[in-house]
Amino acid sequence: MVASVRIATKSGRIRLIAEDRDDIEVDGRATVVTDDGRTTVETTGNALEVRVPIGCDVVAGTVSGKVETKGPLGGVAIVTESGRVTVEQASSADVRTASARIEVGRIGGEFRAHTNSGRITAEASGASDVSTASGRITLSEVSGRVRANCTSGRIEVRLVGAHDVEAETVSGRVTIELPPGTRPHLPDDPAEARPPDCDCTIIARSVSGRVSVT
Amino acid sequence: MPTSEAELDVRVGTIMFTDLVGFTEYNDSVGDAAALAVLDRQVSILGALLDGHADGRLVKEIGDGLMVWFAEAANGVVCAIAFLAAINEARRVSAFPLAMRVGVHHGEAIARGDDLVGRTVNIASRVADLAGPGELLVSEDALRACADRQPEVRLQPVGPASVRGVEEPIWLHRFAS
Repeated sequence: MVASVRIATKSGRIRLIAEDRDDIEVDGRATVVTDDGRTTVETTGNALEVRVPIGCDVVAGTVSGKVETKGPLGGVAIVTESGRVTVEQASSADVRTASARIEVGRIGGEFRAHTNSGRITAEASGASDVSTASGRITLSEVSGRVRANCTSGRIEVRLVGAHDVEAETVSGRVTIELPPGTRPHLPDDPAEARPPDCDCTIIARSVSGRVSVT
Repeated sequence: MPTSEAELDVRVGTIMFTDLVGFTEYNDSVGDAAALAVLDRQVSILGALLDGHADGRLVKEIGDGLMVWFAEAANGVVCAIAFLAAINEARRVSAFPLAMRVGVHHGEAIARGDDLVGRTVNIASRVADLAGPGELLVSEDALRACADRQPEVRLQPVGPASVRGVEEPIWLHRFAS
């Protein structure tokens, strides 16, 4: 059973499909090497479609091509320069781009995303650590701690459960939506200890935008 | 006259790049004096750490970023972890205003006076660019160069970085605190 795959290409698009199988199937010209239980797929500039077992861990990168995943993957880590990244479903995701949009669907565990210019959106995620220099951050259903950092762009976070949030932007609105009944601690000083009657700490800052915690 | 390959002063070692996230905007909002104090503070924190690593030296400041050289890869990785931890802790107690990102790579660099140039330097800079605020990324080459002195930390794989002019992908790992 293939449990872990690494994929690298220069300019081609990568399409990853998790399906009911034990092996890996590569559609596209590439070198495939299996060493110590880990499969590495490398190509210099061709589009790749890679089919892997459900729950497989994938580490992938391209320069300018898009990366798209379909089906339930394990841990996913993706780097692109300018190619948009779309992850449908994974147990965890770490996505980095220089200038491209990052869109994820349902991430069961940790979600990490960093881009210099591009929007970041997640339908559902666990603990999330995301940053963009210029672009909106939208985390629609977070069930874990949140750290969101943005230079010019809006930050919108909707929590399911009481979790700590640290959201900072220089020029943009920050909106944090908490579940009904949550008793948040909103400290003036981030180092301030949380009082015992509060169940989460919300630090939300914007230099020139409105901050709203509801 | 161009320098021939044979005349190049090639050094093998580890390069750490750092960058302060949002420094330009911070400078705009607080003014030059306060921004300069932040730069002095980060150099002072690094200086204290380099005192314990005889093979490490600050090569240069590049705007709000730093470029640091280590002869030993393990020392570079350990110092990068300690530097980031020190900045993160200072930030936690409001003693430092900005998050730092750090990248480490190992390979051959060309000495040019006190400066270092070349492919390894370019890759290390790119590795730092891919790190998020408060995060350290280390290339697989740097980890491999640590040999039996691998840092006892949890590392998570991060996708391969591509660098202009470098054919092979640079596989990266994230230091998970």
